[in-house]
Amino acid sequence: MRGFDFVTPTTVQAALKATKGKKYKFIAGGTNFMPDLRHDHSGETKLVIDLMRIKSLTGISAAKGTIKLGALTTVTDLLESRLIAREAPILVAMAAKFAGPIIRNRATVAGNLIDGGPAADIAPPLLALKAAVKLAGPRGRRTVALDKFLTGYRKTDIKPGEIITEITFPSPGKNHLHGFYKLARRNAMAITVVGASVVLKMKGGTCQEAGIALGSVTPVPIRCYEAEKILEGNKITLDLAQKAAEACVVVATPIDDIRASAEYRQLMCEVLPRRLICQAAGISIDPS
Amino acid sequence: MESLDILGKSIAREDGNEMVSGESRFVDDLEPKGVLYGAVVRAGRPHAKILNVDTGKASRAKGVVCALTAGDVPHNSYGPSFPDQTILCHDKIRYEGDPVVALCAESWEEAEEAARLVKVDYEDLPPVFSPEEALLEGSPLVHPSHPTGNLVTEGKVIRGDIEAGFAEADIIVEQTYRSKAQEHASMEPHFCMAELENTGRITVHVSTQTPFRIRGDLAKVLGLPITKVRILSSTAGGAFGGKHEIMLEAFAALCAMKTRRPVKFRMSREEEFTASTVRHPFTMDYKTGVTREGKITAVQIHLLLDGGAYASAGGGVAAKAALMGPGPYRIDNIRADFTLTYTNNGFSGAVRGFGATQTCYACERHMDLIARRLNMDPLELRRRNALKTGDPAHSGDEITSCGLGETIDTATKAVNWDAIGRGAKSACGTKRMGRGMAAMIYPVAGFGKATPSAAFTRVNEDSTLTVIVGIVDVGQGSNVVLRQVAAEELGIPVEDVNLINGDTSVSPFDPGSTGSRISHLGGKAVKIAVGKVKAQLLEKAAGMIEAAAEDLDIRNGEVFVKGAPNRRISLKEVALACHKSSEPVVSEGTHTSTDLGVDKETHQGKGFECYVFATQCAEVEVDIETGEYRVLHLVASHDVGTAINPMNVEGQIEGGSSMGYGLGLMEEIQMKEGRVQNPYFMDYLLPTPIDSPERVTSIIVQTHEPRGPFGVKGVAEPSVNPTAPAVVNAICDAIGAEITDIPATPEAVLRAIRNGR
Repeated sequence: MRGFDFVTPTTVQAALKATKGKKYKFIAGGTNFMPDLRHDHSGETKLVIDLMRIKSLTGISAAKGTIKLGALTTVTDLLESRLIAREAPILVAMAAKFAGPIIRNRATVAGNLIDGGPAADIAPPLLALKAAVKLAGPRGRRTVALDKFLTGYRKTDIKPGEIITEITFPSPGKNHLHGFYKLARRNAMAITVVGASVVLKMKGGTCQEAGIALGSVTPVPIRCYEAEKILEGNKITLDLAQKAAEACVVVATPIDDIRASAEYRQLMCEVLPRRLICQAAGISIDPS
Repeated sequence: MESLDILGKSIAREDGNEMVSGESRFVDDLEPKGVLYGAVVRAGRPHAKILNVDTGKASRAKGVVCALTAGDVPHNSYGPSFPDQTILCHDKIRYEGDPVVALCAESWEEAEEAARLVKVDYEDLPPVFSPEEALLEGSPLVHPSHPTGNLVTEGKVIRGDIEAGFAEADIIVEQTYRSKAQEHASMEPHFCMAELENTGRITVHVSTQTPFRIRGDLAKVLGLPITKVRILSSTAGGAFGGKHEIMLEAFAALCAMKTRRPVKFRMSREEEFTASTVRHPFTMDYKTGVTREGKITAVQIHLLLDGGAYASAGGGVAAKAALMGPGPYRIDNIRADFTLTYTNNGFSGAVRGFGATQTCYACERHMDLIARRLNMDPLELRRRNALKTGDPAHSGDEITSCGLGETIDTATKAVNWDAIGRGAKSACGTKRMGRGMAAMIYPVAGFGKATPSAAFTRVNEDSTLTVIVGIVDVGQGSNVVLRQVAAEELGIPVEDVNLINGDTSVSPFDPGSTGSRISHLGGKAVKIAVGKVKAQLLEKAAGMIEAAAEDLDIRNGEVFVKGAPNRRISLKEVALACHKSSEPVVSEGTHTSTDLGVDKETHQGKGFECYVFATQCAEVEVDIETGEYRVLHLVASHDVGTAINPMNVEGQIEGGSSMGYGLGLMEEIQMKEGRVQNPYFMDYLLPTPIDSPERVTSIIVQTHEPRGPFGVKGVAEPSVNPTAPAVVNAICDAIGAEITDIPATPEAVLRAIRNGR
């Protein structure tokens, strides 16, 4: 570990300005940065810009059917927010499984997304909620849909000097159904083996709109558009859930790693979405 | 049985509060003036010739004070079994953690930075990673000078007539089981600090289980007499067999001698995985003959152990694994062979359970397989074969106390054996319920030779008692246990016993906190020593209250006439009288068992001091679509002899079963081409509180062991053993399919489900 300068701007403008000159890194909760630092002997980073004191990047709110998460919203904030519990309980389900309490207190929504990791747990439920990412940078502000923002393994659409300011998603409405599953080798502090999220907007027993996303089975968490289409406009049955689950398997490109084999992950890409869709719709599964 | 005042009480340990509040001072908390900080350059490759070591740039780096290479080590050879290890490698690398250079600097950061500047030229050699491959003709040799090549050692347990036993059997069940490498995962990694005194004595502060082994080995390495090496074993944050042999002590001592400044060395968590011992991976072939009625007539076992680069304690691990391999059953015909190999993997060594953990898993999994073939309740199969007091152990020696039957009864009752499991569907359609049990035999101390502890005692003029032992408490709570034994024997409150330990320059020799031996053998030494001062005090008191010494006893600090308890005198007065008349009340106590010894060819004889037994039962729920599981209830019933401190015993049982759970279900050091793939807690998964069984019921079964002090046997290691097989058996019961290898990850469980259909 080598030394670096550390600055703590309190406004977005100050943060953007601080990037001038040195090789810098933005950090928020630092829960990815700190472990990485232990193994970084390059000394390349000369400046760390801590965004945690920028008040305008915090807070959870709702307006005109849109839910807004400040970029610095922590996982604990999601877990404890009444608004989120009411509007998007899938995020509460996710937060309860995210790492452990100490990490949840620090880790931010934007940080988890910007890392671009395949196992980023916040991404699948936000993809299923059809979230968008708001960015600010030297060339002004812009908004990108989350599924377009996550571009590849540890790659995002972020441009040099940009930071995420907000994550927004349309309220899925009172009658929506949801399901979240984090399959991991341990119940806490574990990296996801397969993650799945399902959000179903319902009207009179018919699925109006579906959001289905998977984690840890592609280079970056992914939405399953075909599976969504299979459900949309239909009454949900076991058969339909099975078809949607099979469509999920098609988009998965899992790999073997130290946590699980590709084969197991592939199997779970079918099991988990089917289970989540059925559980959300109140259909019992009996595989025997 | 004696009536006991202090034994059997859950007295809180002295260091409990400071441990949980973070006030305990560990080696790393020592910061003497001028202390230097060390770092070790390790090979990072599995097998290579060292061509050149260049420390020039590192030595000139900022803050660096001293850099050592192999040439700086006076006697560069050591090893717990035989000297196959070097302190610093000079010609060859045998695994990725092999140390090449040790250096120290003004800060940890500078030392680590300098370590990266050391330049070592290697010529890679063809490696060997599997024990099977290691034994093949023409395989690369890890130690070319070892007389039997990559075969470290082999041996066998022979009892009865194996062929005749199989001939009696109605069916023969054969299966191979495998276990993986497990890390001790002590909260406190290896730490030590060495200081050179003006007298030329080197003092090493270290968190260790075996201060006297460290002293002996370090003295040899440094070329000093043992009186010039003082080991101060400080507060330990766990050990579990991992703090059993020299790791960093020689680096710190040599740097301190060169620089004449205190020097600290530490292992990073990564080094704990890549450069210290781990639990031996085992391949275990079991073949068992059994009658239709479920009587086991013969068992044949072959164990193949991956010892990694060095022998460490591997020979003992293998032999104990073989001797315990047939399990807690009366079997007259046994043949158990063990083969320990060198490979270029990380080196295996002592870990809580010492080989018997792996064979307990295989044996108990195999028992369930046999029960299934016989269409018999696994409980019934175990009951029909269970060892009893007076039966021979597998080394042929008599079992002097056996509470196995009671552990089976209490554990199965507490888990409600007849009403649970057997693949029942849970309310949610994807879950199946399972029940599993596992029983165990485990030896106390050993083996094959006496390993006595010793104690010095002194009764002070106020009648408090000072006890000096070489025994170290590495977290298991032995200090309070030994104080209880001393207080019980003398008849004084436990607060009046002051235990001094952990300083090899003061204490009598002790073999170490290993082999679950302390309560039994340490307790015996303390009891004998205290018995001697008690006799002296009674003799003195006899003159003071005009009664015969043999008619007197002491209880709660008062000497009284047995049968006439009104005739009494306080122990304080007696102690003061001794002091005033210049009669020091001091003693030394030890006991050497003379009946221990086993035949090298057959491992028959008296192997151990005594045996403990246990049964654990698990109730699980398995998700048959994902292979995930939850343990709803784990019952652990352990025969420990007399429980000196029931709270401590329960702590051992709960901690041990958590470690066993990890071994069976989650933990696995993943190796690829001799490199650990997961040398950190992010991907080496220890069970967290929410992974552990949802409910743990500890049951203490007390038997009276005639060889033990106050009937004591022990509890430390064995609590780790039955958990993995109990839980895996329960999973197999739930899914109706067999699992052979651990850890049984959800993926492995799902594979078994899919293969089983």
